[in-house]
Amino acid sequence: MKNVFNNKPNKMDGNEIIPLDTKTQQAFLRAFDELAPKLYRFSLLKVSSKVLAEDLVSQTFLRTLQYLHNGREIKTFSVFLYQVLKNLITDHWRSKNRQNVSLEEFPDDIFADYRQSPEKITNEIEFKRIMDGLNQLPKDQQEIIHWRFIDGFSVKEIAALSGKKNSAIYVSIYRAINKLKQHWHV
Amino acid sequence: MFKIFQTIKTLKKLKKIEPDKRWLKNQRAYFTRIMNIEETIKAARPIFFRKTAVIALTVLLVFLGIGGGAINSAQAALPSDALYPLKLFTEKIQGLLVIGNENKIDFALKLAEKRLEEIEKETERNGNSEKNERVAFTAISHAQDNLKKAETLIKENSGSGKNENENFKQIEKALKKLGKVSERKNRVAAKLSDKIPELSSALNSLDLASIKIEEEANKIIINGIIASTTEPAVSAGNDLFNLLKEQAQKAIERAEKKIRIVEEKLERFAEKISDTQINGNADNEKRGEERQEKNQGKPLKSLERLVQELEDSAKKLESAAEKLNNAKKEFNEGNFDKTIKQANEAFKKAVEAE
Repeated sequence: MKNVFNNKPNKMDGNEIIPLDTKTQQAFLRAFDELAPKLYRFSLLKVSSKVLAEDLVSQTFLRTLQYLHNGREIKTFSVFLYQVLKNLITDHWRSKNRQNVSLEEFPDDIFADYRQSPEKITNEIEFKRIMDGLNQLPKDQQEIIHWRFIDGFSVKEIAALSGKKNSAIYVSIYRAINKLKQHWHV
Repeated sequence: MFKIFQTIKTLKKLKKIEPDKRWLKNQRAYFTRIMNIEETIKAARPIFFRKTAVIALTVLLVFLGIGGGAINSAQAALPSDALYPLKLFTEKIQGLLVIGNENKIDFALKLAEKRLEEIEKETERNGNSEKNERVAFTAISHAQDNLKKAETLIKENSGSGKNENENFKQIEKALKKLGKVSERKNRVAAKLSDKIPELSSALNSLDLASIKIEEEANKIIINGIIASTTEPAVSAGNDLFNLLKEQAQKAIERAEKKIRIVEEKLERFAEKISDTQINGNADNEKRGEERQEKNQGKPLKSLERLVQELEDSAKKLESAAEKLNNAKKEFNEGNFDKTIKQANEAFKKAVEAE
């Protein structure tokens, strides 16, 4: 990945690159512009490392591009990209034989990665409080809440992303918000 | 309800996490290169120029009338209309162009009143629909934001070092406008509180936001009165004194009204509880069990708990009434600043009881 700027690549993982039509190229770049920051945020909150999150997002787009180069179509980029990213995150945890680590067990400098965000989450205690709240939700509710309120997806889009019905999404949002409300404000 | 907004607001703080812009740019360049695309370099233009151009174009669009038709139509839009976001957007632009703290305060209060007016109009149009309920909560939340903005501006104003005459005019104007907001709020409360009971707590938060504005305004008034003991400002001091007296009267009236409303509510609540106690039978218990099943096993509030809540509220209301009496005593003695303080505390206690 690091040397790609020195040589114009014409091969990708040993496969010959089949040129994409302009429409697909533009769609891919639009998806990159719109979704790369969101995927990065999603990934960072899952793996808690800036470098790893960047790497996972790069791989996500690279795999998507490979898929397109195989002559296949993608109807909804957001659904496809999130699915690829989720698989990569799962692979990452499996491959390293990692265990789930609670936030308390993270080293002190783990928040340094978040502080590098231009806008900054200035208060680590505040951040920890938010994450504590989110971590107490079931995994699917965490994702739905993330997509709805952090990434700003519509309920319809979330239904497509999670493969659930609209009504189920509404119920999940309601339950998750109530749990968070109790955790943070009561 | 506002706890839900707070929860969502807390969650949205995570939006601040953003990738490194250089990394993002490099990645984009990498994929562009892979796909052999030669893009025209739009991004080479300085960001400042682009931003300025966008702002200038927007201002031109809004104020020179290009596309004025849509914007004019949007001014009459209600929250459930498609053009409503455009209305809010034009208001934001207008807000940016308002010059002077006094006008900014006026503008913020005007918007708060407008939001409440929209709830009234929306109710007339849609009746008591679920959609209307959602609209009402959103509009109240917007109005509350505007009141908070006004409060901040008044705080800033208090440190501006203006003379008493100027302060008097500004504060009088702001308080008059705030009075109109309160009137509008009372009308909304009268129309909707029975239909949407949850709305009353949202409207209470508007009252509390108004009280905060008044408290800030009162600080300026009191400072003005203290400063006016030196000769040239005496007449301004008298005006300020009268204004403070007026504020004290209003605070007493508001607290009295609130206590009366809460009293009535508690009486109704107590009647319901005693009915349940008298008529409580096996059927009720059975229905309770069924409801509990529907409620996914969560226990319903027991009668004892309701009685306990009623007692707590009654105690708070008693304390509110006591504070109101103190406020009245202070008023008779001419201590208007203390009157306002006591009356506002009485109001807050009544809200807690509610």
